[in-house]
Amino acid sequence: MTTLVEIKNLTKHFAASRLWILRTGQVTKAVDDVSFSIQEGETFGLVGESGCGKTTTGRLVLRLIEPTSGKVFFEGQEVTALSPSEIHEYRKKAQIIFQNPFSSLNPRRSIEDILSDGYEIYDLAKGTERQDRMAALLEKVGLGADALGRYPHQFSGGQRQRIVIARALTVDPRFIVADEPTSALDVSIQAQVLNLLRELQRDFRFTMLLISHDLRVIYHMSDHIGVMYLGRLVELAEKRDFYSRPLHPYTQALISSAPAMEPGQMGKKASLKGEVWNRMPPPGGCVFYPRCPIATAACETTLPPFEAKGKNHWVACLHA
Amino acid sequence: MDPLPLTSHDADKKHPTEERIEPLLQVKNLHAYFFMETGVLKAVDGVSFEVQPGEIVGLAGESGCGKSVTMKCLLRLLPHPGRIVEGEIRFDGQDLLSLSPGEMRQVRGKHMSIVLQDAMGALNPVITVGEQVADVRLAHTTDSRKGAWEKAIELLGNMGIPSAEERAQYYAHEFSGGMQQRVVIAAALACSPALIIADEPTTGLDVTIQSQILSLLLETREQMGSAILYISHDLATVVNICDRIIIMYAGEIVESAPTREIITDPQHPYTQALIDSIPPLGGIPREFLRAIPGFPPNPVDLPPGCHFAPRCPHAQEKCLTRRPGLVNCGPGHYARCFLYEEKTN
Repeated sequence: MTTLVEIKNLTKHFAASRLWILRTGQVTKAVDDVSFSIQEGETFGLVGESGCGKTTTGRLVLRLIEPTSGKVFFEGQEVTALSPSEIHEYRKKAQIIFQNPFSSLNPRRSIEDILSDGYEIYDLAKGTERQDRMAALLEKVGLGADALGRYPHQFSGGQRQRIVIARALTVDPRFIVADEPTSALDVSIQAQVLNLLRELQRDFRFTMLLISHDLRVIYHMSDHIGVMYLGRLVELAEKRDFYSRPLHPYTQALISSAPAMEPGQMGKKASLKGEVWNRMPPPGGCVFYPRCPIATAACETTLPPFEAKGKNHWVACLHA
Repeated sequence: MDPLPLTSHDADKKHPTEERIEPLLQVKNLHAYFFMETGVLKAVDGVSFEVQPGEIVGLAGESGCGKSVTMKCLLRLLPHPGRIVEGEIRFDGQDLLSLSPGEMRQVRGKHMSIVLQDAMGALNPVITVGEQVADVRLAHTTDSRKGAWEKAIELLGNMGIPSAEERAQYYAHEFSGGMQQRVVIAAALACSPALIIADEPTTGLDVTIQSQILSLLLETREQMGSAILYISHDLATVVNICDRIIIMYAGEIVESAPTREIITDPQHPYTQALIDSIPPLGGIPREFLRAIPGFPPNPVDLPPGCHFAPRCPHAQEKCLTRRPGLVNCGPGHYARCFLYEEKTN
């Protein structure tokens, strides 16, 4: 397998926050020194709680926002150094699926208009060929060709998300960032959309960066899983290792907090104390230090390095 | 209180006149419709269930299944153009539907309280959180202002809010989502209600915070003996904290059983499909999930037969024309499906 996307020491700092809780005069380290790579054809899952920087990472990879420092490579080319016209070409290869299918479709444009953009911008197909391609694509995502003349409000959430997926596929991208693609959907519809993404990935052979707070979705879909906490990647593992041998205490807490389909489990397992924003991590120390059940004095002053602890298994913890 | 006893199917099939305590809440044949220009939206169409004192009952289903409308009926807060057209709600021996608005206000907050999904929306942004909790005491008890304030601090402290005395003087926006929800729960518990209705109390919270809030609800039941009607679309959380689960689909109850039964031996095809569509965590990975094909029916134009028939893998001809009733298929286990009627015959 070849590496399609490589992220090196990616960092994004946002200045002064409007949130009182963060108004400390310091910068918010939304993404802090994150490095990982995505292999061609795989699904890389990025999981973490709100505010951990997973969405910012996804946007940085597509260069929808500019990084403070660090580099992103796509097919060996440095995305972070592309000129505007090169970016235009990059967007043809790398697409995004947003979380909320109600706000990511313009209500005043028909599905035909929405899907036409890709063909128009990249001059891919015209006239009847375009019509045929759009109809085929809609068929592929489980909607009929008659959807073309309709508007977003005529569709349910699950159907809209199918339209968003179809839109991302119009340019036949090699890489898709799917940012919480199912979190606005009911569980039975979520299953349909996850299955659809799987099927499409097989047919269109794209690589996917899947971002979600839902451990079940991430575990089901991903080949490799990265766990983020307060802007840092704390663990990266293959699917199997991730669940059977989680090394970072935060990953362990995430797995044990995910409600099991087993009656009466709640309250038996130790749940993580405190909240992310209660106490900010000590400068220079481990980000998870304030909530960590196994923290020692060393964790307060040492930033744990992101080290390999096995095949394709990295973790940032002094005690792992 | 222990979950309902789980005996085997064959013993006690008729589930007859066991000695039972008077249910705390009894909903009988509830119909709540919305009268709209486009037609009559049957949001709740013949729902009956009971909640025993101290029991945690889960009401689960996907959006639009009528679970939240049921909740609004219980509190008599159904918005226009919704109306309860038929049915009976008995709570603590009184007929809720015959109470005057004034009497109903005495029930809400005192005997029956609510925890909603959107904690920020439930809290008043211009009043300190301590006052909001104290207000519940002032409205329903003979507490003095000082007594109510002290009680509010105690409640906030019990909810795991650190340095409650100081934090009681904060405003809602100064709290995180998880902490706001703790304040809402404190207010809901202020008068030790017999029933707490929790409508998606952890949706929108992070998983580690979600497990804290669920543990808090369980502790509440242990300490105060309040019954909880837990409403959620997330079957996994429902399974974790409830003694008994009611599954709703398109305005009606399709299955109801003790939690372990519903997980290990679901009878209704919808319940089975709902469980199967949850992505498994751990175990052997499956390539595809067993998704339910199609979409839930339009509530203005429900199918004449079984509401689930158009999506059901076991649907027969009669399912399309006749509506199945709830069939008893084990102790405390009911399913609305012709399949089970056949098995018993």
